This record gives sequence, structure tokens and C-alpha cells, in this order.
Amino acid sequence: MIHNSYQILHTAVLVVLSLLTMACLIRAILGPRIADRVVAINMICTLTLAMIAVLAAMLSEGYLMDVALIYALLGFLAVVVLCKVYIGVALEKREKAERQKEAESHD
Amino acid sequence: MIEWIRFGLTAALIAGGLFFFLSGVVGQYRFRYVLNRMHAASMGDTLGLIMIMLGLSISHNDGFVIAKCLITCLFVLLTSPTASHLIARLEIATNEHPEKEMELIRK
Amino acid sequence: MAVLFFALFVILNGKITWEIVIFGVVIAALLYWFCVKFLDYSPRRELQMLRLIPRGFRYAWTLLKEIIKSNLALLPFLYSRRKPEPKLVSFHSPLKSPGARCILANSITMTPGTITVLMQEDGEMIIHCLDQSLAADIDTLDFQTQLLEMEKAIGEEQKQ
Repeated sequence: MIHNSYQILHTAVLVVLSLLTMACLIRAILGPRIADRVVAINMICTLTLAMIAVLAAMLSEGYLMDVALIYALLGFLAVVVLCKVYIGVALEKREKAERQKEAESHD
Repeated sequence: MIEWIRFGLTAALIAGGLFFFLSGVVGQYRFRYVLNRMHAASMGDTLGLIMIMLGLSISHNDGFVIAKCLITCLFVLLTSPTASHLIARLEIATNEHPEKEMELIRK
Repeated sequence: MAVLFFALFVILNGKITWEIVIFGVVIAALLYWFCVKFLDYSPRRELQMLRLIPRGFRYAWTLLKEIIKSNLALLPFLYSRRKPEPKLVSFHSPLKSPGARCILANSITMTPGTITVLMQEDGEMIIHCLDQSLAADIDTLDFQTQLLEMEKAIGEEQKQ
């Protein structure tokens, strides 16, 4: 009886979380700016973390929590690398534009 | 009986966490600008994940798995401010006219 | 520090047997030696940190309360027709040590509704707020007074 109700609860939570993940994915595709997409990806990462934790409770397998921990690490790393790369690209673009302006003023 | 109390607590905490995740995703669609959307995203990151992890760790029987749950939660709490700080930096670096979206106050 | 490493090792293993305990002690000792050698930790600094633990717990409790409060304060913007008025606030924080400043910036970012965008060398912080009402008391928060107390305690010990 109690086992059955836990099963129903976990399945319902998983369904809701996957619907929210789909909504976030649509936001990541729509997002007009780069930062929009990165925020949506960060959020998908958190949602997937919650999903893995619920799955660990549903299957009562302790080792899935290790997977959740590694997933948190990887998501954080992905966000940091994306941000660093895009900040570098933006700064380079700005420098190039300034150099062009200087060249034009010299002419 | 005590099993049912545990089940009720778990269900209530997980439902609360799902509500905060849901409001985070709603915020992604309701707000117009990235930095405003990030506030909604950080809502799901903090209280949503805390509540879901607490609910799951009440339902677990194994002490080590509970400790793993709490460590994962702590790790996300440590890293998510860093990630959102980097995203805000990225937005400021790529946006050419940040004054259009908000006004500056000095204290 | 070494005790923390050992506890983490055992928790990640998931069970206690003799082999795991022996390996854990050896690995924790090696990691501690590495930290002392290359990351300039020292037993004296750790004693200072140990004395800060009660204050740290009080700080964590304040942080948790603040997170719940600001989460509830953000809900009306999501589910009603109120339009938020985003603001960039800049203020000067009196904290001196880089560690305390980092903790302050992280806690400000962690509470929903406020995000630290930039922090300059002289303690000038630029913060993005979702609404004017959330920005009103940003520079008189509990965090700052508690961190100031902690900093003062460390400073007094170093003088002695």
C-alpha cells in the first residue's frame, strides 16, 4: 500500500519535471540573447538534477546520487566555460570596433 | 502510521519544491529581459532544490544516501551564485545599451 | 580539514569496512599535506576557523531565513499584473578582506531578487534588483553586520 503510493508520487513528480524541462528547452531555443539561452540551460541542469534525485528514491538505488553530484559538477563547468568563451568573444569584438573607429578617424 | 506521516511530509515538501520550480519557469516567459529572468531562475535553484532534497531525504532509509543528498544540495547552493554572477557579467559585456532596461541609483 | 576529507571519502563510498577506513585515512593525510604545501593552509589558521563555527551556523540560519523571505516576496510579481521596475544599485561595502567580500556577494546573489553584477577592488558593488522595494535596504542587511563581526574577531586574534 505505502509502496504503491510512493510509486505514484514519484511518477507524478517525474512527469511534472519533464514537462517543465520541455518548457525550458523552448525558452532556450526562442531566447533572443545569448544570456537567455545560458540561463535556460542552467535551469534545465537544475531540473535534471532533481529528476535524477527522484529517480534514485524511486528505484531505491543509492549510487544514482553519485550521478546527480557529478551532473551538478558538469553543469556548473559547462556554464562557466560558455560564459568565459562568450565574454572573450564580446571583448574582442568591442576592441576590433574601437580599432576600426580609430583607423577611420586617422583617415 | 508513522510511515504515512513520513509519506505526507515528503509529498508536501516535494509539492512545494515543484511549485517553486514552476514559478521559475513561469518567470522565464513572463519577464521581458534577461536579468529579470535570472531572478526567477535563481528561485528554482535555491528554495526549489532545497525543498525537493529535504523531502527525498526524509523518505530515504539509508543514512549514507541522505548524506549524499545533502552534499549535492550544498554543492548546488555553493555554485549557483557563481554561475549567475558570471551570466550577469556576460549580459553586461554583450549588451551595448544597458541603460535602456533599467536605471542606475547611487547610494 | 583532514577530518572533513575523511568524512567525504566515507560518505561517497557509501559503507564502512576496514579497507575503506584505512584507504580513507591515507588519502586524507596526503590531501592535507598537499593543501598545507601548495594552498597555504596551516593548523593555526584552521584553529581560527574552528572558533568561527558558531557564528557560521548563525550566518547560515540568517541566510536561510532571508532566502525564504525573498522567495515569498518575489511571488506577487509572477502571479499578478504588477510590473517590476528593475534597478541597478551601486553601494560601498565596508568589508576589508577578500574572503568576507566574496561571501557577501555570494549571499546577495543567492537571495532571489538581487544579483551582484560587478565588484570593484575598493569594495564598490553594483547590484541588479528586480524592484525598488527589494533594493530599499540592501546596504543595511544582516549579512554585512555579521560578517563585520567575524572579520573583527579574526583581526583581534591576529594582533595577539
